[in-house]
Amino acid sequence: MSIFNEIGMYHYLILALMLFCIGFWGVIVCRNVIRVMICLGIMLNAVAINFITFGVFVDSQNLHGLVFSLFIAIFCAVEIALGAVILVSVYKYKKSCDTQKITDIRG
Amino acid sequence: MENLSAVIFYSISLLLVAGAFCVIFSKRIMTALFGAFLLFLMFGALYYLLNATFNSALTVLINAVGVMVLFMFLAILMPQKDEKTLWLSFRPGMFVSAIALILFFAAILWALMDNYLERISDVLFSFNALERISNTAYIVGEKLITNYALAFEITGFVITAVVVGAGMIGIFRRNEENR
Repeated sequence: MSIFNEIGMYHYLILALMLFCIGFWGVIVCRNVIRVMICLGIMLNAVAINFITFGVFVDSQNLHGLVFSLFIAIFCAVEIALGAVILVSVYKYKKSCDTQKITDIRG
Repeated sequence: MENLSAVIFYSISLLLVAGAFCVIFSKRIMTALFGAFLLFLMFGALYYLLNATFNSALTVLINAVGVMVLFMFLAILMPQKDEKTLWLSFRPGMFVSAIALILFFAAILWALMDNYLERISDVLFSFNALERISNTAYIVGEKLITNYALAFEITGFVITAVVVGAGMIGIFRRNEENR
């Protein structure tokens, strides 16, 4: 039973994988744009878990992974802020935040 | 000590997955936002468990507080009469994507477990390996102003561009309304 008692790098990686898959599925199936943006945040944080895990376990002297995860956190906030502005603009015309109705630039 | 660490890890993992499902499956948007708040708090706790204290504080401050307040204002300002109809899109793509993601998950899990069973290095399996690292915030801060100074500056420019761009979108919209 040591695989469950001894928490190591692989446990974090599997958790990150699960969260990434859940977030990706949420982006595909959710119709509300706010939920889609939260799911994008979940995916980005799942990737950040990978970076931190590798940084801490494999590269513990330099911790490059932690620095990369900082940049991920910053870009996550930037993406959400920009997405919110675009959402407000689109809502003005469409009166809805349904992803199936916002199809104006679809090819 | 090892068991306590395992209990904490599994509790945080459970709350993370529960929060993620709450975001997707809850019918009311406010419940989804509450799930997201819990989720981002748990992300911070997980980073703290990994000794990434600076990342933990940043995640809690940006995602769990700043972003959640923004989303809450968006949800309040947009009166969603059809909140329950904007739930999930039951299309064939939903099931196809679910199957594809399960296969993707299984493939990566198989690769990870294959690697795990070979047991390359004991460092990767020991939680005590984390205790050797101390003061990660100092190391990360030092890296940011030495090795990653250029990337840090570029990030600052990108954020400035985003703020200006967001403002411009608002100004264009107001001009079109005035016409």
